[in-house]
Amino acid sequence: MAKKLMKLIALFVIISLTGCWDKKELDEIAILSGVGIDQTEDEKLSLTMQVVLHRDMKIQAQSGLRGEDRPTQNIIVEGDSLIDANRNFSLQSGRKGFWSHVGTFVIGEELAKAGIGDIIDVLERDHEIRRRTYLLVTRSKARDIMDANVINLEAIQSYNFNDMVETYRTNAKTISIDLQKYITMMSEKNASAFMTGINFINDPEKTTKCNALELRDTGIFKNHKLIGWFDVMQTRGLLWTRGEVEECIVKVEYPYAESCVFIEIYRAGSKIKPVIEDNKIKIVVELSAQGKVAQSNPKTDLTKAETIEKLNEASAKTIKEEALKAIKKGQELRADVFGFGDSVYRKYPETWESIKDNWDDVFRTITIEVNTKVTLKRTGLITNCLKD
Amino acid sequence: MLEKGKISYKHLISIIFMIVSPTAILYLPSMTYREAKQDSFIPIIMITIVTLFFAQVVISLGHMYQNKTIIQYSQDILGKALGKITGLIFCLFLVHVNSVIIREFAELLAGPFMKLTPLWFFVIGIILPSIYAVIKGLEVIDRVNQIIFPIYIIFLSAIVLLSYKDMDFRNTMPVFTQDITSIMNGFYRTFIWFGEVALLSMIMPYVNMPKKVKKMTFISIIYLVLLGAIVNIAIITTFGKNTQNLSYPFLSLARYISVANFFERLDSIIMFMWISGVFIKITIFHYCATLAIAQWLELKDYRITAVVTGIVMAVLSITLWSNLTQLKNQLITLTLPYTIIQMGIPVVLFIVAKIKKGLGYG
Repeated sequence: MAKKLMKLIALFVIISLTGCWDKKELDEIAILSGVGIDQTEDEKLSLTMQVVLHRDMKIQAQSGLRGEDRPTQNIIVEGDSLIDANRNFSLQSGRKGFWSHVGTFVIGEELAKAGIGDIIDVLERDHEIRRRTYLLVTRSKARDIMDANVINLEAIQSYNFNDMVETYRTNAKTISIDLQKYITMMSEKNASAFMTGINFINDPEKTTKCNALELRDTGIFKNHKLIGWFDVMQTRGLLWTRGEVEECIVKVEYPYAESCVFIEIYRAGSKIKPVIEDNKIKIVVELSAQGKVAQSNPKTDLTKAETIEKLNEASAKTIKEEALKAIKKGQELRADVFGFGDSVYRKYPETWESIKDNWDDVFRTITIEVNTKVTLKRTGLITNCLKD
Repeated sequence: MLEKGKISYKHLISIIFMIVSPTAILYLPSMTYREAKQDSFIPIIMITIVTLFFAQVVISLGHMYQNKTIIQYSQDILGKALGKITGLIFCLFLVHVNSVIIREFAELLAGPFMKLTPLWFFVIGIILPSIYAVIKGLEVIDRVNQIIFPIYIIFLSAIVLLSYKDMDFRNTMPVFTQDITSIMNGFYRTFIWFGEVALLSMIMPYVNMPKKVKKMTFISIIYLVLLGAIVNIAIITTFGKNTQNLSYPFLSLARYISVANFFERLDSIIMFMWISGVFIKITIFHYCATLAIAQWLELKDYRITAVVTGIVMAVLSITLWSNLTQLKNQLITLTLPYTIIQMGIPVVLFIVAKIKKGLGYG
C-alpha cells in the first residue's frame, strides 16, 4: 500500500513539474529581439516589434549566407498602452509576442518628451522582461531606427544595438543604460536620469548603404520626461563627473594649439564631495585618471620628465573643461544627472532636508569646483616621433 | 513516545537555518527596507540579540523537562487545564503559520513564473511530499535536509557573489539617519521570522546530545543573521531606493545577474533553491504541527494526523487570502499575535517554571 502510494505521489510530482498550464511552444510564440516605441498623433502607442524568424535563422546558419535578407521582420502595432499593443500584435501575426529575449527598447523623441513613466512601469512589472534590457532614445522615430540599416555583424538587427551599447567602454562618447540603471537613477532624490542616444548619421556623405546609425548624444530625462540632449563631449563630461569613464582618447593641445598630443586614458575615477562653507554648499569633484601617450608630435620631447609633467597638466585642464561643460549644460537643463543631490544627502542629511524642495534652484546656482589629476604612466613603444 | 528517531546535534545548525531562512530571504528585505530604509541592518542586529536570549529560554526549558516537547511540559508547568489550552493555541498557531508559508511558496511560483497554473496545483504539489516526509519521521526530514542544505547555501552565496559587480555601496549611506519609530517598525517586522526559532521546543527532545543544543543553536542563529545581513546589503546596494517597490527583491537580484554575457537568466536557480528550501521549511512546520496535535490528543500514532493537518493546511492556504497584497498586509497585523504565541508562551512557561522551582514545587 505504502509503495503504491509512493509511486502515485512520484507520478504526480513528475506531472506537476512540467508546468503544463504555462507551456509555451515555439510554434505558438513570436520571439522578439527589439521593440521600438513611438507615440502616434492621437496619443496612442505605436510599437515596432522586431520578430526573429527562427526558420530563416536556421537556413542562414546552414547555408552560411549572410545576404541582404534579414532573418527578422518588423511589425507595427498600435494600442492604448504597451500591454494593449502587445495583445494587438497577435491580431496581426497569430502568435503571442515573447519578450524575454528583447535586447533593446528604442524610444522615439515625441514619446520621450510626453513621458515614459507608464512604459517603464510595465517594463518593470512584467516578468518576461529583464532588467538588463538596454534603453535607447532617438531624435527621430523609433520605427525608422528599427528599419534602418546597420552593419550585419549580428544576424539580428537589434542585437547590433546591444553590441554597440556594450562597447561604450572603449571610447566614452556614449553610455550604457539598462532598465535597472534607469530605474535606480529615477528613484533617487532628484529624479533625473539619462539614456543612450541612437541617431542617424547626419551627413549622407559619411553613410554607406549598409550603415546609417550611430550612438550619439545622450537624452536627459527628468520625471520620466525628455528635457534635453547632451552632445558627445558633454556626454563624456558627464561620464568623467560620475566616474564612469573606463577608456577613452583625450586630445590635448600641446605644446601649442595647432599641434596635438593624444592621450589614451585607461583608468579613471571620480569623487564627489559636498563641502559646507559659510552655510553655503559647495560641490568639489575630484577627478583622477591614468593614461599613456597614444600619439605625439615632433615638437614634443617625451624623453624629458618635465614634458610628461606638462602633458599631465595640459590633459588635466582638457578633462576639467569637458566636465565643466557638461555640468553647465546640466545646470541649464535643471537636471542633476551627476548625482550631486544624492552626495549632499549622503553626507549632510540634515542640510538636505532643508534644501530638498528647491534643489533644482540650488543646483543651478551652486558652486562646483573640479579638480583633476592625470598621471601619464608610459609613452608606448617609442619615445619621440621622427623629426620632420 | 511518538517519534523514535533521533537526529544528530550537528544537523541542528542546518535545521534551524532552514526553519527561518527560505521565506525570510524572499519577503523580509523589502518589508524592512520600507520601514527602516538604508538602516535596515540595525533591526537585524537588534533581532539577533533578542533571538539569542529567546533561544536560551527555549533551551533551558528543554533541559528542565528532558524528552518532552512544549505541548507536554506546558501541562507540567501550568497544570492540566491551562496547559492543554496553551498547547491547543500552539497547535493552531503551527497549522496557521504553515498555511502562510505554503501560500507564500505558491505565490512565488504563480506570480513571476506560472500565472496560468491554478494556485491549488502548487499547494497540492508541495503538501503531498510533505505528508509523505512527515509520515516517515523527523530523521528522514533531517537526512533530506543534509542533501538540500549545502545546495541551498551554495546557490544563495553564488547569487550574492555574482551580483557583486552591480552593487553600489553608496546606496547604504547615510547611516543612522532614520528616526527611531521607523527603525522599531523594521525591527517589529523581523519578529515573525526570527521567532520561528520557537520550533526548537518541538525538536529538542529528539536531538541525540541535548547538551550540545545550545552551542549549535547559537551558531545557527549567528549564521542566519550574517546571511540575512549580507542578502539585505546585496539587495540595497543593487537596487537602492527601488527596493521597497520590488515584490521579490532576491528574485530580481538573481534575474539581474549577468556574467560575461552568457551566464545569465538565473531564475531557474532561484526556483530550484526556493522550492527545495521551502519544501524543508514546510515539512518541518508540518511535522511539528502534526507531532504537537498528536501529543495534545495523546495519540499512539500520528500518521492520520499528518494527513489531516496536511489537508487542513492546504485548504487554509488557498482560502484565507485572496491576493498577495492581503497576505503581505496580514503578515504585518499577524506579527503581534504570532510573537505572543511563538515567543511569549515559551517565555511565560520559563518564568512560571523558574518561580515554581524557586518555591520548591519543581
